Amino acid sequence: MNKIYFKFLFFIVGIFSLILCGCSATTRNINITDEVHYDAGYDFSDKKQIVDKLVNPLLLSTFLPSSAKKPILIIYPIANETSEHINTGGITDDIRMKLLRNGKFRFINKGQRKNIEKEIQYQNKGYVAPFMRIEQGRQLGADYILSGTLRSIAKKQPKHWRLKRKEMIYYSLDLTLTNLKTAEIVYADQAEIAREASEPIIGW
Amino acid sequence: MRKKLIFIFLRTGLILSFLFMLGCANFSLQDTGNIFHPNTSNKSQFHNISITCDNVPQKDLLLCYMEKGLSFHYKKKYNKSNIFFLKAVELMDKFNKISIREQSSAVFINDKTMTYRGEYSERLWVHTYLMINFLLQYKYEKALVEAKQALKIFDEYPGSLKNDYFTRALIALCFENMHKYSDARIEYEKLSQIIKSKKNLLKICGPDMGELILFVGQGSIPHKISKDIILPPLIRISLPHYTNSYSHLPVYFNYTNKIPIMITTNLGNIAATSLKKRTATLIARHSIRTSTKEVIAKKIGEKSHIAETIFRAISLLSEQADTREWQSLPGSLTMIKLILQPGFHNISLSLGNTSKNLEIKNLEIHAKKKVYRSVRF
Repeated sequence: MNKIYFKFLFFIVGIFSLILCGCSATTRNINITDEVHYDAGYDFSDKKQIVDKLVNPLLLSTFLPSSAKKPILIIYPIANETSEHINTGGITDDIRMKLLRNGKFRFINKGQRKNIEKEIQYQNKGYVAPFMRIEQGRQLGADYILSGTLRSIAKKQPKHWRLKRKEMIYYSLDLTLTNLKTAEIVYADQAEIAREASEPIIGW
Repeated sequence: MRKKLIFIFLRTGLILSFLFMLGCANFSLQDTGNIFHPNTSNKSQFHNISITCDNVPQKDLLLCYMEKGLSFHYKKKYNKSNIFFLKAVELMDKFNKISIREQSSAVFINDKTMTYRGEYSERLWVHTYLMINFLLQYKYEKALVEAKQALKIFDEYPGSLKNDYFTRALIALCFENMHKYSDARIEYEKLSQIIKSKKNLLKICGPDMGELILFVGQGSIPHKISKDIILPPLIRISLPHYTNSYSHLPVYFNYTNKIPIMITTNLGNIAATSLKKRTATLIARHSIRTSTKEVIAKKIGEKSHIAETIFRAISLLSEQADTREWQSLPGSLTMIKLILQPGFHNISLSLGNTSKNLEIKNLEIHAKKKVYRSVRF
């Protein structure tokens, strides 16, 4: 009788220990260069991959006329034509940062235009000494517009009797460089990612 | 002897598990639909009720997010509304799996122990209100993302949702705003076919005119109640259904010389259709539950009739239909599109032959631009 009782107790304790081990919370740092995906959706690894695929060819390309003057670019937001809320501002910021660091291009800060105007108005109201005020009409004019569109195609397996359901998502980001004077597209490139993920239909 | 002891342990364990799950089910004889609106007789006053999701059980979290999202929407706090609706969307995305634990507890207790996943219609209306919020904030790109999500739900449940004209018109509007006129035309054509209208719903206003788009909610969605049948000996069949649908009243306004485009959805009808589509699943689960309880009752009855009676009584009380629903939804939603001259306008709306009026004063219309407003009677 005692043997059965202790076996039963041991079994219950064993089960609870397994449950507690599974339920314990853990945290760890992830190397941002590693590709980590929890599902088929867009994540930080995709952003990094897209930016690298687009920036490197742009830096190596020879579409610009050879001259001492660095071309001045203005970046317009990348249009999000996917069916997910993706912050494309992160992609444009990364592209701008890499191109700027390379030193081949100059950039206009479109996002700060309103703040710059506010600041100049403040300076001209009389609060700032005249010799320190910013002279108006000295901003740079862009030579090229850098813009793009992010698109996706998603497919899910139809409902059937199965243990797992697969989902496939394809992303493409088209980047174009347009000459502001002539409206000519002088450069175009595309980055593509496709991923398939499967998840069990039955869970705990 | 040894086998007998093992059998006693297993039987005791089974009964204890049943009682444990019964306790954890948190069922009460009070209708759980009143969790968020305990003493409200007038459902349209929901915006005065403070709702917190912090202490809400995980199984009712979706419902809390929906209620809170809508509450903030009608308080005109669209950013906060979006936060809760987007949380609801995130939660709904996790509902693709069948949970063994939940299915087991539903087989032993009732459907209220399961995580509330929302009716097909309610899942669509989360995206509907997100579209409205983003349009009111002039965030057309985000509105289009929600339109695409809503289209996926239409495709997944075509039979239940095909008569939701309002959401389809909203989807078309989102395409129109992003200059995707081909996609907008497709949606307007689908809508025209369903409502059998010969009007050209894709009206692009001229260069000298502006457009007012009103989202008008009225009344309250019908209540979900349980229909109970008691069969001998002490077997209760309890299934949810919606009470009578809201009777939509026409909306009139002071611009009698203008012919607006009005597209209405009776939310009660759509919700009832969505629920009907799930009836087969509900009945199947109910049958399994009834037969399981019957087997257990008979086994207990072999040893003690009193225990069997107690068990049957507990089973009877625990057998309750899942009447959880998104209560604060309006009874109907109407989209009104009106082309107006640029300038300031005072718009006055009235509901049918009732004395209910709404006024929008000093509404500024600009040429070639759309102005959005969401109101509720």
